[in-house]
Amino acid sequence: MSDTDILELIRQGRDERAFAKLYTHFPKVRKLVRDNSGSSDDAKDVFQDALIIFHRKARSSDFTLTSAISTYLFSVCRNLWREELRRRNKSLSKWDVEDVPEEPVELAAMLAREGEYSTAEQALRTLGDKCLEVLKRFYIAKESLIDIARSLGFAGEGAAKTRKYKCLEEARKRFRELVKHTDPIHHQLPTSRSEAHA
Amino acid sequence: MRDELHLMELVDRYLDGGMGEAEHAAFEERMGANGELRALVDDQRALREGLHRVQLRQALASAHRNWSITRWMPWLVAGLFVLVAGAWWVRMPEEHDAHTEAPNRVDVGIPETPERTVATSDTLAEPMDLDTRVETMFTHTSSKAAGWADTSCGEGKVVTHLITQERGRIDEPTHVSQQDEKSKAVESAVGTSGPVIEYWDAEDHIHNVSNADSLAPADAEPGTEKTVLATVERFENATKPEFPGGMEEMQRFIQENLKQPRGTKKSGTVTVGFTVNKKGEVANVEIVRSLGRAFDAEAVRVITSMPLWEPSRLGDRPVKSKLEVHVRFEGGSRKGPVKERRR
Repeated sequence: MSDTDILELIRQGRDERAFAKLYTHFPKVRKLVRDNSGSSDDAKDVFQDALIIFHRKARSSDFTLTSAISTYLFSVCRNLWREELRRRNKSLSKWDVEDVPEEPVELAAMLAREGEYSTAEQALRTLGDKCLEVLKRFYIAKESLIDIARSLGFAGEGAAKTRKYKCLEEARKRFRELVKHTDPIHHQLPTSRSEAHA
Repeated sequence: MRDELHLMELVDRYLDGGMGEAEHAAFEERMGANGELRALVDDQRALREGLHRVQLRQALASAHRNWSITRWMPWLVAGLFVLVAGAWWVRMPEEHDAHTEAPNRVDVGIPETPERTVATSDTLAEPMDLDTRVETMFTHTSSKAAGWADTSCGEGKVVTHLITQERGRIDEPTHVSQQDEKSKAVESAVGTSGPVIEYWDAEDHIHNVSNADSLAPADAEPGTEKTVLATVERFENATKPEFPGGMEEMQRFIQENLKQPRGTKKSGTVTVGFTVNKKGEVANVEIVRSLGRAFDAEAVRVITSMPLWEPSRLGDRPVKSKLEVHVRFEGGSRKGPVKERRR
């Protein structure tokens, strides 16, 4: 299956199939992480983050492939893992990947936001199931408030709207708290990363 | 609350790209001046992406699971293969017997031509591994020359020779039972085609009989174009497959059920080969010698309508056996064959 076919799958919302195809690139990433003081689970986390980043990129209407997906994924993974190692205060002397050409600025910026999004994800996971369901239906499935009210059993459109608002507010509150309490180094990363590539 | 709701919708619209150019510009200007609004937009954007992450986790987990499974698949398949091979190995003796065929020739009616007494000639057209060949050909049998009523059906030691004419082609397996009369019968039946025949005498000595009726070792004839390829060295005492009630009963069954095909007056014999499998079922029915389509069909119909046989047994295990039955049509008689009557 070609890269453009995979892109098409993502645009059609067939994520599972697209990811299954993209997973053929995992062994290479796994080797990279394991060769550099990481575990298989680390490799899985890094790779899945890279897939999420790629997914976001592919969703945007102005995205065109400039390199092979495998190249893109691998370079994202390499950066993610390097940052993770830095965060763990591991010496990078063992880093045995030959220095690669500068990542495009666009990629660096993309990586910079990832920590923030990941924190948002954590915040959302602490919400109640119903809240998460409302938000997912509204923001991802793009269902109308009337449909949401009908399928989740709210009195009407207004009730669904209020519920959505309250849930988002709650999520934001928790998100803010998490950001405040998260390892400050982690959140300086985006800056240091952008500097590194400036 | 109303204001906050409105503001949130505004941010949603901004992030969805649903604003017109002017509104968009105005909103950005407002954001620039208002740090709180800017923070709200940033948070909301982050939460949207967070939602996407939550959403994608499921697909990712499933992709990872699939990958893990496919990763182990070759090992799984290999393991399964080893398991099956092991099981097969353990069960081999039994399996082996399943391949053992016992060709018996049984006559119904009177043989009309001498060549019908020729021993079965199983020809393997395709060259096979020698071992396999021997296995496939391995047989316990009685000489058909002894006549069906007298069929000893492998009760007694039997040796089967695979005689080859060309490379890879088994030409003439011959079977000789331990009784001298029988071996002689086979030998004479084979006639001038000249395979080397080996048989056992009563003292368990092996004799070779050439077509000239001389006794000579099989490998002492290097000049002949036919050479002994392999000798099956396993001898079994097997019981013959038994039609319920015995062979006379089978003959009666055939006589009672066989009908002269409509509009035909020909008499003659159809030789039908078939297998009695381990369950006693008649299978692999084939025409060995044809008398014409209508006759063949009728013969097959009767053979396949036979009741369950008692299968041949090696020790206490049922084995597949091969039989040939001569089905005789007595032309003219509408009801069916009447033995010994010819027009």
